Amino acid sequence: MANRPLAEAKCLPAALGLGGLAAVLALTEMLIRLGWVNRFIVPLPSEVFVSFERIILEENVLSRFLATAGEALAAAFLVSLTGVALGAFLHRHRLLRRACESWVAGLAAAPLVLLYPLFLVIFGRNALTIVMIGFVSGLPPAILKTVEGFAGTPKVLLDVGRSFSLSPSQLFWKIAFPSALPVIFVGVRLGLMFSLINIVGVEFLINFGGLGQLVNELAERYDLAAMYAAICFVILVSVFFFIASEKLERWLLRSA
Amino acid sequence: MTGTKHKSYARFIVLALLLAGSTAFAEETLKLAVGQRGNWDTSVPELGQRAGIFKKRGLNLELVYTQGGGETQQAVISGSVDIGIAAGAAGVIGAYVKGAPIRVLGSETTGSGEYWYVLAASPIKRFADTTGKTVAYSTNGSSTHSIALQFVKQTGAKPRLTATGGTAATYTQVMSGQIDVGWSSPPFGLDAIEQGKIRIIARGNDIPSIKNQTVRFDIVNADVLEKRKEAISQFMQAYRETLDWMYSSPQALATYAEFAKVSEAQAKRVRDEFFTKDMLNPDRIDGLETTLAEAYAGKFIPAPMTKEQLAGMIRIQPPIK
Repeated sequence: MANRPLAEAKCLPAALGLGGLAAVLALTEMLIRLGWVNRFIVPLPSEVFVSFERIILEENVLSRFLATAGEALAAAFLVSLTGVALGAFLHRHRLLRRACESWVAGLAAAPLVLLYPLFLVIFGRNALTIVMIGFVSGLPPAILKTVEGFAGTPKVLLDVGRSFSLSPSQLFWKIAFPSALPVIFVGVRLGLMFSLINIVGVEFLINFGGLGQLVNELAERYDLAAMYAAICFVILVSVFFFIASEKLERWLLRSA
Repeated sequence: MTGTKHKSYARFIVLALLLAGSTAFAEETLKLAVGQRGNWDTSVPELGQRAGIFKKRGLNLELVYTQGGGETQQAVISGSVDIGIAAGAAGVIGAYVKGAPIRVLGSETTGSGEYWYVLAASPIKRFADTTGKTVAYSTNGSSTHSIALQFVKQTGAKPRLTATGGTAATYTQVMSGQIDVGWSSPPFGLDAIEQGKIRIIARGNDIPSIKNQTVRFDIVNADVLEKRKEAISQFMQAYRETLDWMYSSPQALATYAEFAKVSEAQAKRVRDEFFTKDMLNPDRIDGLETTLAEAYAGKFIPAPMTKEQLAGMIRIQPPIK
């Protein structure tokens, strides 16, 4: 037990991560106080920390956090479901895959957030518009990585499955899907990041609910410390989804 | 004899080069962040530069355009530009109070060129008819928010005020029927008005207190003001001269029309109907008490501003010949 590698210790990675973050914040604080970093561009981390209370009490940041997290959750659900299904479909149909793959990759690079007026017209001025922009933005990486995941399934595993006379459905669920799962989750996580960026961006642009709207308002007020604190909540949404997706991946791998 | 002639030529060439060089070196470059490209009020540096007015004052302007006051202000604070054109008054006051290195060079707009509009077929004829309807403003604490609140106060209507973002996003929401009353700033929307798609129901200047309130400032980085005072004074003088030209010369309308990609008739309409010359007078800062009260109410400043703070912030450069 005493010889267990440090990297495998349960709490050490988290402690190291938090320690690293604290060190970066302390360094930033020092650089700002020394005047090496302009405090009117980057606020003191200590000021950001103090402003958390203010944005919780005065700016209803928790309800905004829930609004953004809810939109991100809905978009994530749609991205996972549709992206993986479309990816699997494209993998099975080679001609279609060859026809569409580069288009999907092109879509991943498109600044879809700029199409918000179109989404506003189709879905109206409500959370659905934001969810749909998040969904469409997150879809390409989920599709592409799913295709890649299935394509990477070792042929020998499939041959072994066939030698045991597994049905196509069994081959998919017992061999191909578990084998592709880690890569599929890379795509889902990338999709979630794309979604969240676009969700917050649209909230910022159309001034509708959530953390994006709050960041916009605080920036206009030149309340930098509070603005950075609000951005921390956006990061919190991202962290929350990252942890949830990791747990889901582990659970699926165990179940498979 | 030939040698003397060559020497004369050489002297002439050196002299000419020196003169050319001195002219080039005499021109000082100022970097500007300008909000809302294409608006008449924010086009002063662009038009003055095109007309050679700033050049006559020994200035070369490098212009970058921003989406609005917040971005403009941040660029000035960071020192990446020297001067900011059209920064929201409340935002500037908030930043100054928090110690940001910015100073006010003058008023950018006193009063409001913004207008509120409805779809042509809407039953709403004036702001008083907006009870129960959605009325747009850009963002919380903005000048459009302040004007919308004043409209509510003045007319007694009880609309649902809704933050809709910029002019283009607002227009989309009005045209798709999600917002009943939109806001805009000319020349945006003039085409739609002329085509009979939308109809103006109110203008910011309909409210007397707004008409006499400076809503946007021209700002300068404090360090730049201290170290390059002469250049800044020359800039403001050229700014005044450009305004004189913009309101007297037909060429200014043609230049603006080309720059903003509107017709000359629309350019004339923007100038004569929405922005009187007095509104853009940089030396006229009015209604500061109201602005300060709004800045406090809108959480831009944590406490009311003192007279000393005000005096330190506003640095209007006196006219020069």
